[in-house]
Amino acid sequence: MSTREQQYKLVIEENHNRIRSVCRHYAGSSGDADDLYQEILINIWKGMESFRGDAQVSTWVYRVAVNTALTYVNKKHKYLNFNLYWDDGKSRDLVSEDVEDKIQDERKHEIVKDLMNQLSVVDKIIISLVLEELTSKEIAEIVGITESNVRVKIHRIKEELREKVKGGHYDY
Amino acid sequence: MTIKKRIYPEGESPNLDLVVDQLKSQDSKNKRLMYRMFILYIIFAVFYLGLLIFNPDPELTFENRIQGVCYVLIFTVAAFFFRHHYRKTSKVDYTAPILSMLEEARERHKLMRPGKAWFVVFIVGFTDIVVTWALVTDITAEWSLLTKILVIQAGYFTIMSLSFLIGYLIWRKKSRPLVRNLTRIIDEMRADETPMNEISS
Repeated sequence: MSTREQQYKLVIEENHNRIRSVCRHYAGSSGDADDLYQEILINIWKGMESFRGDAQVSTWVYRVAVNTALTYVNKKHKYLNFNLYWDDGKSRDLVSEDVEDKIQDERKHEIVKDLMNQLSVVDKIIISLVLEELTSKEIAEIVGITESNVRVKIHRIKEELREKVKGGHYDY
Repeated sequence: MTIKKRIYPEGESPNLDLVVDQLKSQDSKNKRLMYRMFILYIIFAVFYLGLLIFNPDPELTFENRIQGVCYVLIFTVAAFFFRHHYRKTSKVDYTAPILSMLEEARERHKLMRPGKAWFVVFIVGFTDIVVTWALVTDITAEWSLLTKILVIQAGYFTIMSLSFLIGYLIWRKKSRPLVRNLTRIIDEMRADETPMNEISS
């Protein structure tokens, strides 16, 4: 096995869960998630030559995964869809606790998911990375904007979500 | 697919995923075009070189041969220009940070870039000199040298202008919507570049 193959194997082993997580967020079905996973692996293999170690390997893997998801999803659907997983608790933190009693939990999940899918693609990507618990610095390296810009965007998106959840009337 | 050429109205943001898809498709088309142009100019260069070496015409002067060398040189430079851009497009990194990937793409698809402009000036200028030099002796009409040169220039620049017009119209149809969409997304991504002290966290 060549050095490149060994490195590749190691990168995949260490980042398997991260890649799966991105697939889970952007793929419509488990079949789509598997296809997207394969495409990400191909792009990681192709990109290894150009990776100069200017970012952490895990951040670079996220970058490849997100960029692959961007166009992969487009082949399957017209627009980038975002799957929100409510069970892990991280998604709940996106909206503040004062709206907790306003709407039932499961309805809130649907509402937040719906609202998140109305965000721009860049905002969707940023929020998906926030849910992955990446730091602003890591998100900045993936998206290519400044760290302060990331923080401003996260703040703005959260505010928007909170306002919409508080003020909206939803017929679920 | 009509959505690929869509220019989004003011206030409506283009979808990044659709624009990246549009970008990859346009890059792929450009890559194929660059390769075809490379092959075409290589064929021209080899053909002219062959003509230069094996031309049986006994009346071929030393001047004609120098002009032939110039044509070969022009075709070779053009071939390597297209080869360079073909390789550059092949090496585009779509896994780069999103904003820098989009900014590089916008530069790549602009109508005129400094590198391209210098190439055009060199090729058009040098070809003009060689064509004028070659044709001025071929015109048999009883005109002064200046008239002959002016007539050649008028013909040459009419052809060049038409070529540029066709090139511009193709770019306007195929690449301008992409450049505009890229600009909108880049502006949107940079929109929140506000100092952090404005936010009370």
